[in-house]
Amino acid sequence: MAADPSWPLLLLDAASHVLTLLLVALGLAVTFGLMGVINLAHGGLVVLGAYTVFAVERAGLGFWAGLLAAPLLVGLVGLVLQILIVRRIQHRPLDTLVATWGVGLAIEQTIVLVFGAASHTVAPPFTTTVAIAGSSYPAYRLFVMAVALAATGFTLWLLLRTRLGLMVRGTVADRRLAAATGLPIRRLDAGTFAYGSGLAGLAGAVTAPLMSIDPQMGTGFLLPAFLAVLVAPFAGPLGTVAGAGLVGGTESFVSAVASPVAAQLVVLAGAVVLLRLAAGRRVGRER
Amino acid sequence: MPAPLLELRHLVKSFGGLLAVAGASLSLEAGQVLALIGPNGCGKTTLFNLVSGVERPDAGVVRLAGRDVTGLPPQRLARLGIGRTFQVPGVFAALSAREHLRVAATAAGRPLLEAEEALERAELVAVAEQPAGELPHGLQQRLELAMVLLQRPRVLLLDEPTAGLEVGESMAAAARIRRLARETGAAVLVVEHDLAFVRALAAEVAVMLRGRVVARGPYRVIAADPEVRAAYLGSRA
Repeated sequence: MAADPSWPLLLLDAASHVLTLLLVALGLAVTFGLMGVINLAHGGLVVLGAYTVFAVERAGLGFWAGLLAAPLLVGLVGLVLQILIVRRIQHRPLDTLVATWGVGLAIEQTIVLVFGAASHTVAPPFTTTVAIAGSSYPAYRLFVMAVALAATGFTLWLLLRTRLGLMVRGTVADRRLAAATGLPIRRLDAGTFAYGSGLAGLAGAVTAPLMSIDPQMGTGFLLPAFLAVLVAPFAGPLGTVAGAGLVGGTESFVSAVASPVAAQLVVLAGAVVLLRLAAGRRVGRER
Repeated sequence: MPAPLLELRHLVKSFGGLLAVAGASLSLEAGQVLALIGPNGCGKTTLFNLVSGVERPDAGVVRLAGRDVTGLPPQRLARLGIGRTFQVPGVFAALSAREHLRVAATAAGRPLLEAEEALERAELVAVAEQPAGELPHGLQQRLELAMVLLQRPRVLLLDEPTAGLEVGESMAAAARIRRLARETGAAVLVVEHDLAFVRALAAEVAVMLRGRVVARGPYRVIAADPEVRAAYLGSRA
């Protein structure tokens, strides 16, 4: 990626990296950042989204149908997951951690059973390139960036500008009071979790053509996404934009000037320091 | 005779080995204001939690206008007309006062316009955009009450409405609660420690001791009851 040290392209690559991370982290910002569910199944849900596109495309229905189907299907899986498992144990963080980890494994292994353990590729729906600063840049990357921005904007609008979002924010702020006020907190929980899961599906689906997909790829997504949400300076999607910028930006920059391994090291070390400084802030929100 | 608006019969709730509510019975008519007093640990707050659905009773029945609502979750009870406030005012800290009333209006299925009206009625327009968590205690309580009233509750449970208020403020609160019951016809059950406030409320008083409602009557009669004096009032004199 960093072979040609032309700054506009480097910046564009960094932006692509940051926005891809933002898209993956956005769903987690909803289920974990907002709802406080330690959702280790998030990586699995992203993979499920990617394989949905793969399966729909292989069935001959084309990429766009797959892109539409992925968030719906994964959202539905999230809804079932919330109702059958998360709802019952969500107030016990350790149990939630183990259970959602198990669900992630189950999704992964189901994918292995159905599609095999080998990696696959999803062809991008268009291979056009755009001339930027004298070089050509794949237009599909720009499309992914636009989707990330649109999904973030839509989520913020939903949360901050609609009555539905207001009810969700109320439920998140104080469940006891929300219930006493008459908010349908169980349905809001289920719906919010399904929405966050749907975002995971969208992330997996839209980024699938950028990489080769395999059943284990969820883990690679999960860690930076959790970091982005955890180092977010404040809860919610807007904080996650900053968090993704911080984690993704650092990663890209260090990758470019040093190496990807150094980038991982710097990001992890930085996260440890930041989390240490912010310790108690998030833990204190647990009930 | 029609069924009372709120009827509690032989409610029982224990936590571990501790019997917090031990067969409490109580009934309220529409428009009635009843103060529930009793020493710390007598089970008042638990009784409140049983009626508002925060806790499920181990035994006993809660009826709202004759309908059995025992053990329903709080959000169902709220929509059926049982509203409550909390001892520590419940506010969604980061949400503004206006957003609070919008949440309440939405939950009650009412237009947002009613949130604006409630904001004006509670005289909170000046602080409408401030995060509720930063409002002074008295304003938080007013906000909480305004939220509950948007539900148009048939039964209103107020948990220590004078906690943290100054004397003048609590007298005004007593007048507000009386007027509220008269105008809306809601039955109001108030848990309260402040006996001056209870007297100003001019309400009937029920006394809870060791998980049971042991006496009920006008303030004057209750205050003169030797057993009550020994168990509760005496400890204050």
